[in-house]
Amino acid sequence: MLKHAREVGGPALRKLTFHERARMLKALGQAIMARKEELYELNYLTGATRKDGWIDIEGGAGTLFSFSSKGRRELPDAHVLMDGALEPLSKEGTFVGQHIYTPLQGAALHINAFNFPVWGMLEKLAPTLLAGMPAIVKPASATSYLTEAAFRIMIESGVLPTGAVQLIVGGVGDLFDHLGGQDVVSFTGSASTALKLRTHPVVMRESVRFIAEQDSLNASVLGPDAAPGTPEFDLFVREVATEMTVKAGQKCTAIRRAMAPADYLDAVQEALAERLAGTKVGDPRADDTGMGALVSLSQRDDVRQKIAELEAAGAKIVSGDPSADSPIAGGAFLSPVLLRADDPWKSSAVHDVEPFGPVSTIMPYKNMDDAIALANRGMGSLALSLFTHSADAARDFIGGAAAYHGRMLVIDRTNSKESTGHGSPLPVLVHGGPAARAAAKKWAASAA
Amino acid sequence: MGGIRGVKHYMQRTAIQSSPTMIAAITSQYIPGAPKRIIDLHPFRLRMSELNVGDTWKTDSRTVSIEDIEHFAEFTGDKFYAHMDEEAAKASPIFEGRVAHGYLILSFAAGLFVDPDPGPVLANTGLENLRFLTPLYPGDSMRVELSVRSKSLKSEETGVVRWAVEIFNQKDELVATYDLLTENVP
Repeated sequence: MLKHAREVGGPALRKLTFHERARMLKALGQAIMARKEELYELNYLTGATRKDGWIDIEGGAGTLFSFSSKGRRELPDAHVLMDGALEPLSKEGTFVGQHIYTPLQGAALHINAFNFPVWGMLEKLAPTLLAGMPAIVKPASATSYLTEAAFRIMIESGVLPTGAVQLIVGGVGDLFDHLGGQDVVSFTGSASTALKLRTHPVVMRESVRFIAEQDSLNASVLGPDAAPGTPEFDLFVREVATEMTVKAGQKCTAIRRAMAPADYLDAVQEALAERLAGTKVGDPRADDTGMGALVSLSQRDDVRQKIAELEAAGAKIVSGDPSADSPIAGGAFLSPVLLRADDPWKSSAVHDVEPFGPVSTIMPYKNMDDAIALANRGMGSLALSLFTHSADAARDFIGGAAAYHGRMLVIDRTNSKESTGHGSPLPVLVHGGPAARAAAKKWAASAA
Repeated sequence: MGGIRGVKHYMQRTAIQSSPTMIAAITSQYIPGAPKRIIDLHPFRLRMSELNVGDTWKTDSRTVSIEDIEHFAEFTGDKFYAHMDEEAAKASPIFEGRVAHGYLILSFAAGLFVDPDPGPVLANTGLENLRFLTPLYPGDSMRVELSVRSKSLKSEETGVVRWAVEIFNQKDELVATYDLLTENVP
């Protein structure tokens, strides 16, 4: 497969200009949109509602459109991309320097998570194909049938050159043993798997480019000014509840830690519990369903286990019941579970253990420095949101915490209506967090 | 993700050292200092697809008189000392006497390179990276070289051409340089 990508797909893609490849992305997006109902049917089988599926399916096509239009606006209709201005290197100007970008001549191996079978594939394929590199897509087994259906639509559209994309459903065999310095591995999943792949002897020896997006204990912070009754308080409660229930909380950007000034924590708990109680859990096909099922029973077992770890670390369940019966027998349903950690500096697990489901922990902070330290205690996250109407609070918080977070939203009454939300990665903005959590955790363990 | 930065994850960055001519050939893009391809047909008469990166239109030259400067000052209200007060201009560390307004130079430049009739150039949509490099004194003349720097599509129906504009005086010194953006028929 690597050979096919390197020898057939790569050369064919590199013959095209950036604009030609950008037009190809648009055609792929149109092909997916034209047959999206087939994908929505399969989407229900993953436990997701139609609304959840919209993020995955139409959000995925949207990513193709976005990269297509960026490619045509920001890249030349040529094969080589110039980087920066000409560097003068001589007095007469006959000898100058210029940085350029050209596509790598290997294959891009995309290893994707189960939670967004379509978007997860397309958010990686769009920049890869636009760059002019062929890809081998390896979806997570649990939802690979939906990825396969979207993949098939793209192949049947006939716009991709032979060898430009290939799909592996199941194990990758000895693929890693054959990687080389022109290949790229782009991984989404757990920190432990990322560490295992990143330290694979061939990846290390050949200096294979490795891009990882791994689990992250994203935080949302209620500003010190956002007392109960302010618009920011209500916006915060709504956002946390939304992030817990969309996709049944199986989103790498979901809010796992919700922090509030100690004086407002009771009010936060009460408002969140009330909101979550109104979320109807059930058949993802039903119109009145607020939250569907988890992807599988084993995923639900895993989430229950992680909730138990949080409880063991001192967090208390204040809303929801992880052991409640399923609304539909045999389904992987779980009610939203809200935990509270009154001493977040003692309950280490709330910053380290991620229940990948409809679960979040509220915790108090004492002052701005404490809020920053708690946010950064997650050791690197994909997304953080701060709800404040105070410009001073925003400046102090972002200045203290930006180094630990990939994307940060400051939400208040003036921008909430148009906000794209805490949990939505955007094609035009960074999606990825600083600091490898795996390494950070290892450091914390050895320091302890 | 992260826009075009995400694309670069799949590309290699390489430093190239050579002449401007070679770098223009390697990148198929406009490089200041590389030979320009002088064209005979005014580029405003060509659709974007008929324009090539590096195509250059050379204008005639015109003289800028003290009357031009005063007329512009009265007309626009911009009577900054450097244009209107010979002694104060001389006393400044930058000028040797009264100079033409930068905005007058830009306006005259447009007067030199614009081809007026309706055609594939639909509108002027912006100007970037403007630098005034050499003052233009009354009695000096100016001419323009207009080169196609890059082309892109805004939609299937509209293109954007980025032109490198260079304004020279009678001694071929660079007076001003900027990028002009126009909306074009693809």
